[in-house]
Amino acid sequence: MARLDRLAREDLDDAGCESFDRIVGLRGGAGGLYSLLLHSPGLAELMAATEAYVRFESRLALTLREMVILATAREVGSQYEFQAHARLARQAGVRDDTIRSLALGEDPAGLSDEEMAALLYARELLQKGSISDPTFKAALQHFEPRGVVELSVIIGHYKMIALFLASLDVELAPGAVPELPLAR
Amino acid sequence: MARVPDVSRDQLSSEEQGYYDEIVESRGGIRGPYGVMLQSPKLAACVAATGAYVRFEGDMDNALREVVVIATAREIKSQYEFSAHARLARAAGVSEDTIQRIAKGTAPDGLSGDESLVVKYVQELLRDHKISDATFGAVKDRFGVKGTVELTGLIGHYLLVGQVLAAFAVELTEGMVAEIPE
Repeated sequence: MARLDRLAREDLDDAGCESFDRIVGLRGGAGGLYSLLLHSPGLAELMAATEAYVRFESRLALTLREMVILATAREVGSQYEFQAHARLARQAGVRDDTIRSLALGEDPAGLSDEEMAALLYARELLQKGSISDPTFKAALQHFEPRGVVELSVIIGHYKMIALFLASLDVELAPGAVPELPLAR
Repeated sequence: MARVPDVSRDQLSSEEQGYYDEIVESRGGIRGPYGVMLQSPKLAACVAATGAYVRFEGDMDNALREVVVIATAREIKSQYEFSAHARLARAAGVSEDTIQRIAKGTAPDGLSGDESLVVKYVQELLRDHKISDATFGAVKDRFGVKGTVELTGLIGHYLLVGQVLAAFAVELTEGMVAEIPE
């Protein structure tokens, strides 16, 4: 359930179909949140382009990215985003206990220094809206300027996605188990 | 102090210069977070393209868009973003009274109509991470479905930009004035 109708390709005009096809080209499909974002095909396409960059061209490792996205979903309270990316994280080899810790906002055991630096950076940016000198310095050491830019944009992009999901009241599929603690 | 240097065009490969040029074309120059974001040129171009869309495409009145942006900037206390967009808001005809109410954090008190509605939407979304049925319904009735999605995109984009500005401690440039009371 969501607040808007989900759109398929046949619901769109010619310009919308062009955007639809580009979205499919970028990310393999136009379902899920995209079926709702397609109410603004131009915007949906641009979101897909950013997502495609993050997934396919970013310098940051897949498991690290998924952990950052999970941390972002947790901070914004997005059950849907957390669950979608928990599945992707598991597929990428992230452990269940790590995912559980991320759901609770705790520090997972056994992370590399690089992974912890990214996680602390994400939490600080989302909780405080700023980054302290030591946190920035640690991130810079691991990721260099380009990686820190990518990390920052990933956090912002997936917060934006979570806010879309929230505004459209996109719910988990029937029977799906929420992974974030309810009522924080 | 800038935490990371801005990237100049001659530091980039010819492919990356294409992204630089795209950004300049859509925005008129490299300012704000883009100097630093060009450390990852293609990603910077993606963000800039989204920014151009939410600012210039769609049906929302430009003055009202700037009200949304300064309200977003106020929620995340981004002096840079507020200052840059307060100037644009004034140029678009937003009243000084509205700008001050948003700067001081008393809005939507004293605002009416569309301004009140969009400020409420910004505040609910960024404070609660959700939107009530009543607010969503009011926004959808007023701006339509496409307009509602685009309004959310406008807020989300300026949230992302504000976060990048904060993370890289991008400072106000000459002529910019901090307008959010500290």
